[in-house]
Amino acid sequence: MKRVTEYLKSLLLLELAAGLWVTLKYLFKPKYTLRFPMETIPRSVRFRGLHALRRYPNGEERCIACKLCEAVCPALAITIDSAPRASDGQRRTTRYDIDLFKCIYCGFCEESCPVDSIVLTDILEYHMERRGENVITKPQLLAMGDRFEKSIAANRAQDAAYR
Amino acid sequence: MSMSSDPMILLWTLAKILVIAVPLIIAVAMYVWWERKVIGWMHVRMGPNKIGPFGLLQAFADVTKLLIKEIIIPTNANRFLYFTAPLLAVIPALAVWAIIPFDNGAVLSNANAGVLFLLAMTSLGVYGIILAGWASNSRYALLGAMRSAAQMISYEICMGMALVCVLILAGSLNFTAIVEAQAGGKGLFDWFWLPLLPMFFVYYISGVAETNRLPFDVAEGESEIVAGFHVEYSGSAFALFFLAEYANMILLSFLAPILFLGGWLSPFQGWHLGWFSQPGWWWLFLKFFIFATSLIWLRATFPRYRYDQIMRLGWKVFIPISIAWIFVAGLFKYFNVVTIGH
Amino acid sequence: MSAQPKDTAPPVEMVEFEVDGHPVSAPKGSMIIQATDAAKIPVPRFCYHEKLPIAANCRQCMVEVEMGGKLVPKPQPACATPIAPGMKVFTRSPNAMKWQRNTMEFLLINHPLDCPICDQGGECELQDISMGYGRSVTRFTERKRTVTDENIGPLVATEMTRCIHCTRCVRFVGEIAGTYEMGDMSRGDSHVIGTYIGRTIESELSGNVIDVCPVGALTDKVFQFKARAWELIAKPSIGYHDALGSNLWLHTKRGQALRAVPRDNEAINECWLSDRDRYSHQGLYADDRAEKPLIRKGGELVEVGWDEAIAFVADGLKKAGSDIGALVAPMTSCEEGALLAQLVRGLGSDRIDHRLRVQDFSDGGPSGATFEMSVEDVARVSAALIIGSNVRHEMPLLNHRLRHASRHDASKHPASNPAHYDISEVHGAKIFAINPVRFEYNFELAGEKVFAPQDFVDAMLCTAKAAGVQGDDRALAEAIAAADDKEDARQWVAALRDAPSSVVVVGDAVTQHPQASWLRVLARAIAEATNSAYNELPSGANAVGLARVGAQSSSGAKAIFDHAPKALITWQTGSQDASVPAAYDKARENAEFYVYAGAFACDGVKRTADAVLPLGLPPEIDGTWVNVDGIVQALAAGSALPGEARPGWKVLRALGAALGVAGFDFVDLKDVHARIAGDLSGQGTGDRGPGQRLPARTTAPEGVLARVATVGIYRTDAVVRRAKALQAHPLNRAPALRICADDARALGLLGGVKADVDGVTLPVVIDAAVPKGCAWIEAGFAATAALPPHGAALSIKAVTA
Repeated sequence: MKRVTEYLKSLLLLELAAGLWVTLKYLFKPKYTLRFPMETIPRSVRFRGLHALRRYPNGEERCIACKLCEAVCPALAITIDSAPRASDGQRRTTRYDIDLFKCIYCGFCEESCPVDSIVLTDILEYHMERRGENVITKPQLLAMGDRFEKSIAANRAQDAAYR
Repeated sequence: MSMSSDPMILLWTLAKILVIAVPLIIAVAMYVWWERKVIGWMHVRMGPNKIGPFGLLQAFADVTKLLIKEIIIPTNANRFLYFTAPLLAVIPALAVWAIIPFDNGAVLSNANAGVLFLLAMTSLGVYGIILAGWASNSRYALLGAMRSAAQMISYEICMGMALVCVLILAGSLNFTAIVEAQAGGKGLFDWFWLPLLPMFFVYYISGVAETNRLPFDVAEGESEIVAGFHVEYSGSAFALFFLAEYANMILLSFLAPILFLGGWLSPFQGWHLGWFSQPGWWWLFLKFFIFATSLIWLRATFPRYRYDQIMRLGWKVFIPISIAWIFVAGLFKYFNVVTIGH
Repeated sequence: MSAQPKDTAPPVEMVEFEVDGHPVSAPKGSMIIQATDAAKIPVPRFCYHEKLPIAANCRQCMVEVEMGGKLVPKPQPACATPIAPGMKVFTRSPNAMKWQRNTMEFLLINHPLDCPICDQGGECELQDISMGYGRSVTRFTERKRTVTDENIGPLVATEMTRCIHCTRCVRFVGEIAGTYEMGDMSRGDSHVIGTYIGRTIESELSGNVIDVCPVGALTDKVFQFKARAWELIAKPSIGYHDALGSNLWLHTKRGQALRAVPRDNEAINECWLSDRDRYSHQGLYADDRAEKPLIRKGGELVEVGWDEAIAFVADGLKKAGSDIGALVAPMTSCEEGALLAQLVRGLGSDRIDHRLRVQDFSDGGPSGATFEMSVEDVARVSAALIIGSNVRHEMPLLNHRLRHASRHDASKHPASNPAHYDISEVHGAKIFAINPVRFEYNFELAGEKVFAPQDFVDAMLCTAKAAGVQGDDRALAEAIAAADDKEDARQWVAALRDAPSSVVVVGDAVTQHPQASWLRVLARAIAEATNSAYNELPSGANAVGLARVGAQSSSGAKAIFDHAPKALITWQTGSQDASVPAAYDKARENAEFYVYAGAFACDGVKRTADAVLPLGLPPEIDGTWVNVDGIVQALAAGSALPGEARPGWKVLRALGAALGVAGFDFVDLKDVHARIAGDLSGQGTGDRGPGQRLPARTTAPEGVLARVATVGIYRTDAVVRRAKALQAHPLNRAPALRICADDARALGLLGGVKADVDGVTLPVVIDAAVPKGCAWIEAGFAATAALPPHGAALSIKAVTA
């Protein structure tokens, strides 16, 4: 009897029809596709994107050229030169370069910084157009810090309880 | 009548060719878009939606890319054959549209040997594939070509026999006559799909095999041997193969309604439903659309048939059924079980 | 020469005891920490330093000690507990680790959280020991104390909040540098270490407090904030400003020399470095550093490539034929000196010399002989005679050895505990000095006499007579016989003769003297007669090496100055390196073809040179230098050459090949080194050249003031003169006329009047250290360039408004 039913099932292509029914059902399901860049997926406050150098609320740059970030960077992406600042003799960097091609965006530099100076913002959309633009310099980093200080501070405030 | 004697007839024929060929090519482009969209939806994702509104211009962008691409000829490839193969694939695919009717009287050539012409043209398409595989001087291409040739030849037999069944019932090789033979007061129950139900499936599935579509695309084998017989082709040569394949698919989607589902006849013919009961070219196009979409549906659903399974199906399942049903169709005709025409 | 007994120490008695279960033996009288250090057993410490007296105030080296089977109940500091037979020491027992951890906790209580901004981060003993022996989490929640810093000079930066009061700096500045400039004030929380009156530390060894300070309280001001310790590459190098050749590590970052730290070498510099050697690297990057070859085309100096420059110089030298002279800086390496000598002699001239400050070449000039007593042994003499030398300024670490001799008893074994001495009981060395000026010494002299340059030879004759020198030259014998009998001289001579080991140190004031040949002969004779070693301080860093490779001639540099050659090559020298800078300038102006091969293209060079070939300085090139003990030190380049500068030996190779001189077909520096290796290991000639007679004695007229032209400590060579931090140091005194009050009154120079000395206006300083008849105007300054040299009479008058 089983053989008969099986033969009939095979003959009448019933399992094929079942397959077709499955795909037909999925035809009408809502689609998962994200319409980037109009829609984006939510980003964590801990997201590690482009770097920035922060300042204190009074405008003083935080970085004190301790070079812990340069030492801990696993990709050796950070290059620092330091000297006493001409105006007041305080310890400051004269050169702070990050090679974005070498960087692996691990966030170790941010973790190691004792003054919360170098941070990774949540910016992931950036590009370079000319050779050499992959090495970002101190003025660029400070500018990014100034531009995105609000979101940087907000992200860190939200995550502070877990750090 | 001699074409050259009357230039007006020549011009008029050319115009009719253009009216068929140009929309056909655009239809190919649109069919490509529709295929990608439907498969996307069945994969719970959106298909192309960036190029043009709803991604409608995607195919045109692809064609433009193909046309401006560099054509790379493999080392030691036979140049003449290499460039002839796509031509041999695409010319029959386009030529066969001469005898396809779109409505009663709307056909380029109302030849009385339409079915014969159809069979001849589809057989010629195989050469293109064999030549492509051979001329590429590449093992995957050769493998794909040999598989494809064997497959196409096998399924031509049962396709032909399905056509013979239709022929027996319709009594004519003329496509218009075949469609008219399915007219009757019972609407869709007058059509040939009912008496020839197994043949309908045989014809349809053989058509899928003929056009190298999933589940019968061992020739292409996208996930196995990359692009099979056209792996070494790039640029406009590849575009021609592409065109040929999709033209064949559209052809199949037109022929299946014409042969088995009453062509431009309304399914409610004779049911006195007013406008719904009127025949018209729109019914043909609606049926074509359903078949075209079902081809896509099949592609989205089924895994690929193994090569030996394809051979088995063609030779050991379809051909016996076809032979048997020829006999059954003959019996139908002899005992006037099927009403032909009005 | 005179054989000195090497090992005057008594045999050592060893004590057997146990540390952590291992048997250890050490000399009797040592402390536990000395024994564990020798046995490589780690004990943490902050205040203990093997060269400094023991203070035991940090209490970090606590260990558990068991004596006679019983555990000593309280923790014992390993640095202040003498070893005893049968003692058992536990450095890692639970108690010992607890005590070490607790002491570490106390030290960190008031220590600021400065690690990110502190230069000592990465090389900090506090960091390392707290990681190894300290707590992991702090318990301190109160406020830390802070300390206001004082500015102690341009060389050492202070951040006294970080100070952990180990008093290593206090002990160093007191015991080693000898100046007692740092001390600790107040007690408890207010305890601070500083100079109290906020003055600059003036010791010439002040930079060593940076090395001894275990935290970042005292750091290198020149190096401040420049780099972290882990990014620096340490290249072994030597100091090239005095002939001691102190070993140092040149720390470079990306090819640029950022600082120098001492390298341990017991025989040469122990573990110390003079400030001159430490901070001179700043001069490598002066503004007028020559970086591109220049040749004079159409009256102007234009930058050209090396090929063109070499061809131009070869051409110019060929035109001069054999009338060529070369003045070589004493810091030149042996290879360069040898090649330059070969070049000059190959072109047919003998006029090459490096002894630019020497005026008297009648005996061939200073022979470049090594010290007869090694620097290490000088620390163990029982008597010494210093003749014409401010050793503190000429060779600071030799002075340190002399100070050590004067404060320690040579008969006691050197391994005895340095804390076990009471100054009143010490029978240290008796050190006598005969100088043109009362130089400042940082130890007690047993006797000091000052004589103006015109009376110097007479003073030496008296001493020679007292020593019973006969004199092999008739003029010499007659002069000795005619000298006075002085009682002091006899006492001094007796002290030298009776001492088991003694040394005669002869310095710059003798070498520069216009009658130096007399003084040399007399000094050597005195040394021989009193059984002392004769240590003549060479007039330059590689004088010994250059003498051995033949980069000098018997007529000396004076001949080049007196008769300017047609073609003159100066190799790394500047006008302020010569005894008479004006003569140097004249020579290079009068030469038809003047090539400056060196590192600094100053205004004088730019004005007069026909070609400027930029060279690398000693830290930037491979080379060999020979120090006063004859130790050959071969070094590889430390920092990178700037611009187009090349190592000198490469330039000479190209030049020699272009001129077609034989022997310039070598490929590599080691070929040159192999060629001169034999010369370098040989002994320098100690005797004066055969057949050279002493010049006639000159007597100065009465009432004339003769110049004493000692070289300022930080004006010795071109590199040091461009080291900004050293130039800002108070030891670097501005050029001035220093005379005694009586002479000033006689000339009417009292009351802040400026003096006109031979046309040069100088401020007047009344200095009691200067004897009558003597005008002390230091050499090495552009302002004093026009003045006559050491020992010459000066015409001085007051500047009238």
